[in-house]
Amino acid sequence: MPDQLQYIPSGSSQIFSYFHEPKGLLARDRAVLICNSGNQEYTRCHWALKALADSLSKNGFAVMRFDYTSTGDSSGETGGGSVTQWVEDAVAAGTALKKMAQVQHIQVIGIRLGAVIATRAAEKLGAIHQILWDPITDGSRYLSQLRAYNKQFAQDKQVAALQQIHESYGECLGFPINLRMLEELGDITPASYHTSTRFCHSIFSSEEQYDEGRTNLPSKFNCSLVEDSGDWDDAETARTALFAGKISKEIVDITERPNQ
Amino acid sequence: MTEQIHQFGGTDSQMVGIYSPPQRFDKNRPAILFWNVGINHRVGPQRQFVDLSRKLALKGFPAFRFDISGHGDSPSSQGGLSGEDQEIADVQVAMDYLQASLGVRKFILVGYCSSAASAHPTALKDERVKGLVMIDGHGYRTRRYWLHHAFNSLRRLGFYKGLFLRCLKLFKPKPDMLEESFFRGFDSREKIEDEIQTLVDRGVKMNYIYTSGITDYYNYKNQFYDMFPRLNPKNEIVLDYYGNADHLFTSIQAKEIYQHRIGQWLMQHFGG
Repeated sequence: MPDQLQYIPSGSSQIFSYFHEPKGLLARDRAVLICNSGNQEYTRCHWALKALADSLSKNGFAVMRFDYTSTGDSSGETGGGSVTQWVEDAVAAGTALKKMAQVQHIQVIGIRLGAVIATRAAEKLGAIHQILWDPITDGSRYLSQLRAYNKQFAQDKQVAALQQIHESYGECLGFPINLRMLEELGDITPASYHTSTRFCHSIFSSEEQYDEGRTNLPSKFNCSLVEDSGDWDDAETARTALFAGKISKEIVDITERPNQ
Repeated sequence: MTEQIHQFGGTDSQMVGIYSPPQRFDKNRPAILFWNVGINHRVGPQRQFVDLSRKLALKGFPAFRFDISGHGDSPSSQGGLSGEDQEIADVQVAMDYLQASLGVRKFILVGYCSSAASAHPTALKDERVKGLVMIDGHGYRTRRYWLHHAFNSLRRLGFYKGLFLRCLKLFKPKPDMLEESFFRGFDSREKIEDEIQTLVDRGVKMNYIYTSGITDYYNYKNQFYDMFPRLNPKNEIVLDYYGNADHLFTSIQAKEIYQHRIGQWLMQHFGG
């Protein structure tokens, strides 16, 4: 069966989805939903997440990638959407995935901002397993990082009229950020990751993030350090493709044996 | 607007595209084609191709953004063509597909940086291409380029520091004053000039857009005409220069201005 691409309704939005048919011989009891990092980091991650989805699919898992409202090929103006809306989108995608894959269980994977979305969607979907990849655990600091990105970028490129992020509106590397999104981003804390999901893993690409995540994330998360591409706080790197083969392999390994 | 997902171009390695239908379909209007720029999948830098497709569809132009083979969601081709030849073939396959499915016979290609390198030869090869938008495409340093470069360097570094560095450079070999190629490795200036003239003579409408994000090889508005002194543009070429924009139009304000301008250009030449 070929992969299936379709729009899925999510509230008033139509979200673009890419369903990877399972290609391995093993019949799996779970399907995997991948929540991307959203906006400015999505460009960077698109290739890596497609490669991850292909690997999981070759290992027999049905996988779905999707674009949140107002991102990628989904409906909505660039700069629209909110964390709450994106969680609803993830739930809509996960529900469609369960049906298409004809499985009872869902596993969610979330990278960066997608991690908090994956955790919240996991609750609503009754997911049995979640894997986070460099999760954002401090929303205020994430916003400070976006501000620093913009400042550095405007200086380096001598770009005029790049609006800095302030209290009610901003833009980050070409993406508008609305007031609701700013508020919801600022509200992200380690407590956002409290979850009833049975198996929880979090993978970090740097020692600094690993130490912080291990200290702050709820104790049910099994944290591991896999040094690989990341450098999320570098505005220059933000414009390069993410190649994270080691982390991708680790995710496939964990997905195959979630309870170890 | 309800966009449509299309998979096209063969049975084993289908490309993925999104079609933005115009409010009122007129098959005499050209369809606008966008494909991958650098690492970006079909949505373009900062989702620009999504925004622009939808805006142009509202103006009555069918728009189609797609991933060429081996990029974004499209699998690699097994055809064995070289990178550029494959890209040209893929763009032609997209045109064939839209012609067969929509009845559109005219196309406008939006080439942006890396995709400009394939938009130009595709337009030469395929007479269905009636318009070209070339963003940060061909560039060759000219005498005036070096003057601007020196002036801007002095301004940036400070006069005395700049003067000192210039003095040091007197002891180094001088660069050619009109270079034949640059780091992106385009064909010779004369060849490109002749090819653009061929397109002009064929009546292809062209909007050449340059930003200040490529100062390594382009740094003033009319450099285009200085690069191609033999070119007779007739009335087919419109040149726009955005001196405050980086290569990817990162500033939302700059992006909106350039996209509005493309809309105006399209309406002027193809809106009838």
